[in-house]
Amino acid sequence: MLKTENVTKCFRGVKANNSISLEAKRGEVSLLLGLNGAGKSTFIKCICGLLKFDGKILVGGKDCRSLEAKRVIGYIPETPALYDYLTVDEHLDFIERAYKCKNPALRQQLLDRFELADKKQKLAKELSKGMQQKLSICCALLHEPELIIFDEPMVGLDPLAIKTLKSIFEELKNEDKAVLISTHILDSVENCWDKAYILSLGELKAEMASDEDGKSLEEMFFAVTGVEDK
Amino acid sequence: MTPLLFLTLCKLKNKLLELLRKPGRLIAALAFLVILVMNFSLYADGLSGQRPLAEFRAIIFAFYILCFATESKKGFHSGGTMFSMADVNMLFMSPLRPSRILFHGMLSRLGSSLFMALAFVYQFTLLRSLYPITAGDMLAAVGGYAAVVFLSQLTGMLIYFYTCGQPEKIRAARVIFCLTGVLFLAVFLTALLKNGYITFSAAVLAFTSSPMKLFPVAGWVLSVLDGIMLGKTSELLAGGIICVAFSFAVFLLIAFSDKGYYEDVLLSAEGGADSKAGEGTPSDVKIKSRSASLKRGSGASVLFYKHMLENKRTRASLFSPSSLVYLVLLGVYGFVFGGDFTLLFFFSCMVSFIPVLSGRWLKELTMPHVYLIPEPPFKKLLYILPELLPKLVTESVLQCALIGYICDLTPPTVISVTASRLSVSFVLVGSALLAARLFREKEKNSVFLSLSVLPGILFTLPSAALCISALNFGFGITVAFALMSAVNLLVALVLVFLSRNILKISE
Repeated sequence: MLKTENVTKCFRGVKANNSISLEAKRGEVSLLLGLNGAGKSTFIKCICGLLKFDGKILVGGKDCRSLEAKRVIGYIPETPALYDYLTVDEHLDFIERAYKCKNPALRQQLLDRFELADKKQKLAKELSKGMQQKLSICCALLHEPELIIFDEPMVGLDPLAIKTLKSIFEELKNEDKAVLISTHILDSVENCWDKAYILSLGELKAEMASDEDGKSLEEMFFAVTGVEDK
Repeated sequence: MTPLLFLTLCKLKNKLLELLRKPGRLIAALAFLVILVMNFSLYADGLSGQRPLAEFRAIIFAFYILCFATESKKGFHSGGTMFSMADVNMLFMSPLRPSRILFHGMLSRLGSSLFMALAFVYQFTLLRSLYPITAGDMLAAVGGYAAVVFLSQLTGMLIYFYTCGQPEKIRAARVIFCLTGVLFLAVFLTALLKNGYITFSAAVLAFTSSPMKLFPVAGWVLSVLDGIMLGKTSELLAGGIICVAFSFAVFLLIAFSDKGYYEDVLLSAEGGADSKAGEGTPSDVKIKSRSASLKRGSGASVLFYKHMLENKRTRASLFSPSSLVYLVLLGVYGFVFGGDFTLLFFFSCMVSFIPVLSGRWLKELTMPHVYLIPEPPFKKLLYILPELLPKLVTESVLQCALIGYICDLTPPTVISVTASRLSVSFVLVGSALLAARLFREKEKNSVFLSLSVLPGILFTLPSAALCISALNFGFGITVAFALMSAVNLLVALVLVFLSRNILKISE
């Protein structure tokens, strides 16, 4: 579903991503791991077509900047950035209009699962940061994307929402969708991944499958990156 | 309904509904509206001034040039001010055409420029008392201002888009920018010297001559304004066509370029979001390692030294470009009004709102760490405010020295007038604090401005009344203004004292 080839991104001469090639397949949860500043968010923004880059990124066989690709991508940013003066309901209305999709059952289900059903008339700026993150997730999932990209999805969520999100990862996987999660909180994705890509200083250091070695994600991560407790 | 139209209408509707829910904002909005209507209805039919209309056009043109210079030069460091982070995440990620999104952004920006331009209408009373202008002329000038702001922001976006943050390209763009200025200065001087004598009216005519209307954006819009005010259809058409063609050219260059504009907007919006949250320092400021830490201050006083360091980092100077503009305007007013002391002093006091309300201290009131520092709230407040003092003193001294020169005042009188002007600034600080305390508005928005500026003027009335009484009783201007300073200082202290607990809870 997602294929990147030699993606390189420079900011004023500094390589934030250096020749990254990876793949996120349908029916799999892929992880993008790395320390702070490893280049995960930059890479994700390249996939979403928000940044210019060298190399190739294909989403469902189409260039990631094309409208066809955008139609099948769902993106949950690290920090929820919503319209202050739009209500919860209006955010979802906007998504339905922009993506030309209408699925009232899915809409209600998302609102119920993320405890937003009773806050439909609230403005986004009146929601707490955690609730904003939940709304951001609802917006990204409402148009039933084929590739869902989560950038640090657990930040700011309560335990119940984290549990819900984990079950959503599982459901999306079972629905044969491709899921790409970028995180540095390894515990949060320990039991729900199929493939992991480790980034360090903008470079892809390793690629692992969950059925390799029988080691925990944390052990594998530290073995690859070579960073230790200080 | 298209998604973008839906988005715009929903935002507008919710903003209006919020106005109804927040009485403070509603009062401020109504007050603005009433003053606006009064401004027009009371003076539209009355007698108008008889000064040459060319002077009015020159003032407007100078103002347009200033707007163009300040807005478009922002393109050297940011270029996507017409989009927010929400736009990046919601619009740029959606399957809507980038060209359509850009067009939506441009229209939204035009709308907000028009809204900003409304503030300009408040000058109608003053301008009508001097020049033979109608309400229609004033509205045309206001529309022109909105157009200048809009087109200047497009220019800024174009500069940012093509320089891409690359130092050598930025340098080249700066050179072109400066050369344009020099070229038009040369055009102006040539037109001025052509007649062989230099007078104020000759300068005004040279400044608004036809070649000057080729000046990017400001000149084109002046051409449209001239077309409306002087009934010159050809100028109206020429200026209008150039403005529209320029807008479309920028739109086409950005929207259909292979580079795409999303990255530029994203980086700008991220920068904007960081600075709004108070997280960022300007990335292009080189910090010496020996000045990288805060070495002075203990307890509440650390806030003062922090402000000083932050001001140093952001290269905030005691005498900013805007201070220079006000000084020049004061000089021009002095010339136009023939040394009318009252008017010049009033103008000087009015512009003191700007440094007061643009100071770092207001931003500090929204920062959680200030509330958490274990010191008495009043003490913290007293250490937050002095950051303003150096700039206020500098502006007061320079402006009053100029007034003294224009009005031929004696040195003791200049000192007394300077103290008065400074004391008015203190009252404005107190008024802003009280507005923040009573209405819980700490953001620097139009509502906060109205809630602090209008009461601020009222709070200075007792001192003004005393000053006038003292003059009527035969006291000299020096004594009258010294009394004014004393009363203002007292009022300011009372206002600050009433707001002493503002830093107790951050709600």
